[in-house]
Amino acid sequence: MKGKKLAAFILVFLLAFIPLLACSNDEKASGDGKNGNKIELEFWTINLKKNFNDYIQGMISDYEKANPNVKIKWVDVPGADASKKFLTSLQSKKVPDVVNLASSDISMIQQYNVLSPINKLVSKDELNAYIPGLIDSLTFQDELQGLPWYYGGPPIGTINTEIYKKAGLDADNPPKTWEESLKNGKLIHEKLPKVYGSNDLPGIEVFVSQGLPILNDDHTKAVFNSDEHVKFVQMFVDGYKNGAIAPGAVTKDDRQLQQTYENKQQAQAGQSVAAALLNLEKNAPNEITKIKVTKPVTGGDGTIAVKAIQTFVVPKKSEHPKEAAKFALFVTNAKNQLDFAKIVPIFPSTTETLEDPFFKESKGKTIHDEARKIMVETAPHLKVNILGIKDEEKLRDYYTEQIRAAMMGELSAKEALDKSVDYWNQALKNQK
Amino acid sequence: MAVHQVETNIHQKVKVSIKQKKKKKFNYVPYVFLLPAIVLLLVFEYLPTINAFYYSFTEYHILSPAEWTGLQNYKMMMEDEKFWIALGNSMKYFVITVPMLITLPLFLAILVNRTIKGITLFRVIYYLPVVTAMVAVAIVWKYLYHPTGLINAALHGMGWDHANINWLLNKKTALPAVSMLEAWKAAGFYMLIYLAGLQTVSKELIEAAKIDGASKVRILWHVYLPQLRPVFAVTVVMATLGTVQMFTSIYVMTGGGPLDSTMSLPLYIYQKAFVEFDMGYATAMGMVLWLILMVLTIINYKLSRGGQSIQ
Repeated sequence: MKGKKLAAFILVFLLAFIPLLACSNDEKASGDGKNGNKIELEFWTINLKKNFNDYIQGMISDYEKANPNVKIKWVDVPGADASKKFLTSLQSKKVPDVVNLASSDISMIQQYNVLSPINKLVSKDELNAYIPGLIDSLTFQDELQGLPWYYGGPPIGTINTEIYKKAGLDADNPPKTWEESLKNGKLIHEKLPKVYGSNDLPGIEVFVSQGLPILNDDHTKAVFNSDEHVKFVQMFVDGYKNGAIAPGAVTKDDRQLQQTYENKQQAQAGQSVAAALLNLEKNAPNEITKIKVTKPVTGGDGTIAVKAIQTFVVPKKSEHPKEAAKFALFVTNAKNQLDFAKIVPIFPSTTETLEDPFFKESKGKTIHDEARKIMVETAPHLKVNILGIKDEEKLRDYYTEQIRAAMMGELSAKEALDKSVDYWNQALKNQK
Repeated sequence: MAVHQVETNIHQKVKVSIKQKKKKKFNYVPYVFLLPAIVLLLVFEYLPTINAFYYSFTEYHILSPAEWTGLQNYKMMMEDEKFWIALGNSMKYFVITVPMLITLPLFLAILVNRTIKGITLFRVIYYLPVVTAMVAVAIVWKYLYHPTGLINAALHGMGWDHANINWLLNKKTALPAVSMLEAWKAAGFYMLIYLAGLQTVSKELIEAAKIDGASKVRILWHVYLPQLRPVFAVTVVMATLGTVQMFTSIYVMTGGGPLDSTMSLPLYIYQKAFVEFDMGYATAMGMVLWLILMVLTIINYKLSRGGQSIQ
């Protein structure tokens, strides 16, 4: 009887406390790479396992063969959760060693001083392999926060040739400026009421390509509410009213637009990422045949700005920062990026990759080759628009929300820009 | 006399033995069996709540240590326009959705309470949305609400040629549209609760009312509804808690837009906590949400007289 009671007690206690064991920290340290102890590097990517498992796994195997003392543990995290998961992991004792983050996340995370400066982990010569503009955009107070990897590349323009033809427009003469693009969009909607021009909004990057400043020279004040800025935004507001811009363009999640090429309600895109063609090819194989890739719509001098690139960061808490940086260098080297670019239309961050005949002598067989050719042509005019200010993402979101309000007629273009500038200036004042 | 003596003796003996037992043994067995649940609740519910209460008085951004700022977060909340918009929207969801969740499922329950052929199938059909994932349902409803979606097509079919409503991108229609989805999805669940309640209603009372010549409406009003009072107490409290905490449908369908017109307080808390990582401020808003839910629950409970049925 006593034995039974004791057993019952033990069982109850186990039931109560076993679930809590899961809450403990996994403090199992990896080896030091000496005496046969393998160093384990935890390597995070964003949403790549599904489509690029063989490519990533192949790279890992090559690296492990060349570095027998290193074992790579690959973890692929969903896109929307990457920065959240990373920040949460930093709270624990076991942190990932090499983490793929978008540069927009770096601008948010760098204020917490949790990332190892890459320029202290690798040599200057090794960094010379990368496009200098990209290294500069990721450097904050002389510390390189991340190693540039791939990005969508310069945006491309696209038009639906069938819709252009139906509207009486010449698809071989695509719009070059926003004025032309919005004019075409208006005409298309007038002739084909169920079709709209595009989903283009005047995002903050569009100001850069228009040659309009965002901040003053010493980054202490926002200046995007001048008469020129207002006039430029007003052009889009008018476009939203006359159908040059689709009604669904103001949707908060730009991955869930209402009027698209897929549902035949979109005629053109002034600036789009080349990777969007892959989705279109998958979702609407009949529609992609009607799409023509063009140079992106831009301002007078042809400057193009992109918002973010993919990077690799090494957390300060990593047990093996040097080895982690070495592996990040390997993943982002010219050869590996060229291999990656061959399976997906991405743009590499290394200059040597761009010199390869694959980029230089693109024959333009498929729509993706065509896109790549245009991206290479546009590359010299490219800027990565990282402002390097605290809460940058929050400020950008606030700006976009005011633009949406202007498009929907809740605010005038001037009120929307004034409101954004006030909000930005308040935030910039607190950063001093 | 003798019998009385014996009875008293027995009574005293029993009393003494109970006292002795009480002194001798404290019955810990029930507490031991409660322990697993208590430990889990304590670790995953109460400790985080107490922690959150503390963090609501701090500036805390996850990576840097929390700094005590006193009532700063609460003061900021009073001046935060977006907080008031989100709170107002949560109240709008409450006002629109709760009446729907209290009345519509009741009628559904009355319908499926009939003993007709194939009634189980109807019960299953009405209940099906409850067991379907909200994310999947919300995506499907997004297509229904599309300007060229089924709802506008149906309106066109009914002769309203100008029906070109962009349900989820119009400030006036987005919030009611999301509320409709919530009510539709949860209706089956509340129907089941009402159905269980309807089946406990005393048949004698219904018979008596019929003999007295009461009409169906009067039977519903004077017999069914008073007896369902405990069920109403449950549904009102649950519907209130559910609607004020609405999150998934809004997150998937509108992301809080257009122009914050569907932003609920839980979604705003999520954005502050997991997009901007302002945990201190988010927990302070969480505390306010908790307080609001407590007050609403108490009011509901009092109004339904503690769920006591009228016999």
